[in-house]
Amino acid sequence: MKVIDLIEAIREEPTRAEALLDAFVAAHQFPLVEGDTATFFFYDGKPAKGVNLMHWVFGLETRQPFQRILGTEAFYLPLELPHRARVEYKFELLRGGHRRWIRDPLNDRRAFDPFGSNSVCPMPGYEHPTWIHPEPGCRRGSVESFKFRSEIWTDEREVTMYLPNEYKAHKKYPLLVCHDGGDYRKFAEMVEVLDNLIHRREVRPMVVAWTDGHNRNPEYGANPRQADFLVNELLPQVRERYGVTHDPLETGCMGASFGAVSSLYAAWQHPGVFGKLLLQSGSFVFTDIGHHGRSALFDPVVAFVNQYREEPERIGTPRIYMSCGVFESLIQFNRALVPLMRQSGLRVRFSEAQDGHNWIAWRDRLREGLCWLYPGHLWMWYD
Amino acid sequence: MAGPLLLLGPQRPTPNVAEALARVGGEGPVVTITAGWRLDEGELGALHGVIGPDAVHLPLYQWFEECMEQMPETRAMYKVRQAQLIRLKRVYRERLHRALEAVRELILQRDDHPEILNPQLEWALDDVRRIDQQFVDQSRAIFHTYPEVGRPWELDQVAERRKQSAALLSNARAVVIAGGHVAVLRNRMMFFGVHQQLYQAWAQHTGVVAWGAGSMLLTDRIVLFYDDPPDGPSHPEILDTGLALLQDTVILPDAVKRLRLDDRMRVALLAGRFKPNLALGMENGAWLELEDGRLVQKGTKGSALLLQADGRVVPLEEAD
Repeated sequence: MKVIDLIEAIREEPTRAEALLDAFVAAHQFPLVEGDTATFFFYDGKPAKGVNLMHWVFGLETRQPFQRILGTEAFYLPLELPHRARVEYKFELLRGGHRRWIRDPLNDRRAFDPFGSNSVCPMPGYEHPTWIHPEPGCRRGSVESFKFRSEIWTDEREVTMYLPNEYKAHKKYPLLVCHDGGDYRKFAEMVEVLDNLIHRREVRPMVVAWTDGHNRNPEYGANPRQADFLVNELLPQVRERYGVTHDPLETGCMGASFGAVSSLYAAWQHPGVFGKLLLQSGSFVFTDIGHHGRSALFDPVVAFVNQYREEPERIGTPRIYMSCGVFESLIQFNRALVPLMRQSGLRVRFSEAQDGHNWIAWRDRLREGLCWLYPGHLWMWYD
Repeated sequence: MAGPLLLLGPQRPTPNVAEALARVGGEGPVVTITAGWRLDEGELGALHGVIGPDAVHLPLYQWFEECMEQMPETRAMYKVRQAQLIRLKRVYRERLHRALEAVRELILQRDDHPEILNPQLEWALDDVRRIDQQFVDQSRAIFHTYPEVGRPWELDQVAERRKQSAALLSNARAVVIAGGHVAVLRNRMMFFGVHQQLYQAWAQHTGVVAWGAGSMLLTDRIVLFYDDPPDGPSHPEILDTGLALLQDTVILPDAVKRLRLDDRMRVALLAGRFKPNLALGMENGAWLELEDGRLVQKGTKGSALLLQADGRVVPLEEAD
């Protein structure tokens, strides 16, 4: 049954509205998706003044009011969304003189991030990756941590290492340094992704060094101390303790949002150290004229990206994988950088996702990014 | 009379190489070739544990690395040749893509006007076969363009090791060729001329047992395949010629995992393209033995799969 049929049924039999609503809710999965339209629906049987859809789709109004089904406490909102889109959202419930953000009580699909969780609306064509779940027969890598005192940050820093199942200390594995390591492991299932992709031989056996900022945004926002920390402290510490390559071509750096800025900035500050960059939803805000219109955290970022645009060749020739969601305000900045990078001689793969600035979007692009940067021998390998 | 030729399925999760070797019989060492494992070539614990104390390893990957260290000029020439081959492969893929898209389009339409489209389809497949053959021919031509690396076994540094491999193979009761990186395996065997020695040994009764990349290498044409690569759609392509101990057969290890066997269009395209060769999927438990020019399944039922030009996949033992 469609919402329009429900409305018609309630109009014809208003005394049965509650029963009709209960039956409707029990019979459907929400949001209702038909073609390119998702209809969000709220009904919990209690009085409410109104409901708004809260989402982070750049280009649409962030707060979208639901319509009430006349004479009931049920609300709905049809919204046209692109094929393959994946939208995270919450409801803003106006009840008892208060506004409260809640997850969609009729939808148990959730996405988690450091701030909690959102409800998820996957549109037709969105493919839930198979390679994020532990695969049968997959030989798992190991995860271990070490700490060292950073002279640059004047405190103790922890690095968490991913070692492939076949790891042997005397070998020299490709290395990837990853910002926001804890979040990549927790919200982007990066350990399982690495296990599976290595097991499938889609990426080469590799070592990952996950790092986390102690004061994230100021540290990651084009901060020379962070660049020095990565190159002069973290890399030597990792290379001293583990069987990893010293070859810049096989050494990579990655991150999302400000983590992507930090990765590109480190490569810019220290050309020739990182031969591979995996940049997800980089906060690469730049200006042609005037103020950038964002918070002061972006000041050094904008200054750096403006400088980068002036002198893109300074970075050397790393191979780059970039991704960004089309529902992000950052999409235009990322799109604009790609031709610039290519013109400066870089090999860049750029992937646009029908998604937003979130960990699931970054998780979903890991396979493509890692396979582009560290391709395995799958095509040639036959056990 | 040639020795036994046994093609096995992948050895995980349940190996059957020991059982197959018992069938080969005879006396003498069992020579193992694991160059396809690349850096892990020497990690033989599990394999030699299964084969037993008769196992002797032929370290072709290690030998190659040593030779390249000792022969910088050959190494440089080798790289130049590889670069040429990569260029050729790029062009081959472009042509192949277009030709296969044409075939796919005809398969989709053929039910409408079969009297017109079936002959067109066969001609379109001929185009694909021609592109495959031209690629193989040009690869051979590139090999011959670089005589310095075309017959490396004639070089002193290689000749010594080649003598060692000849001695090992001539005394072996069986040669076991494991899976792994098929191009590396092939190149290392070719580099030391082991392909010729293997053929001679086999012709003089030495058994040959192979799986994965090893079994692909024994055919006359090596086909690379994977239907769901991370970099988007892909088409099976020819790597190169094989050792041709087994003719008219395309071996597809782990086909259930690597191919969309439920997609009749893809199966039809693959089987039709390589017709009249048999396209054989090999799963764990498969054990095919060459008897009077025919492959006979001696392993687990249903573990060797015949891909047919009509898009169906049937166990080899049930095929006509």
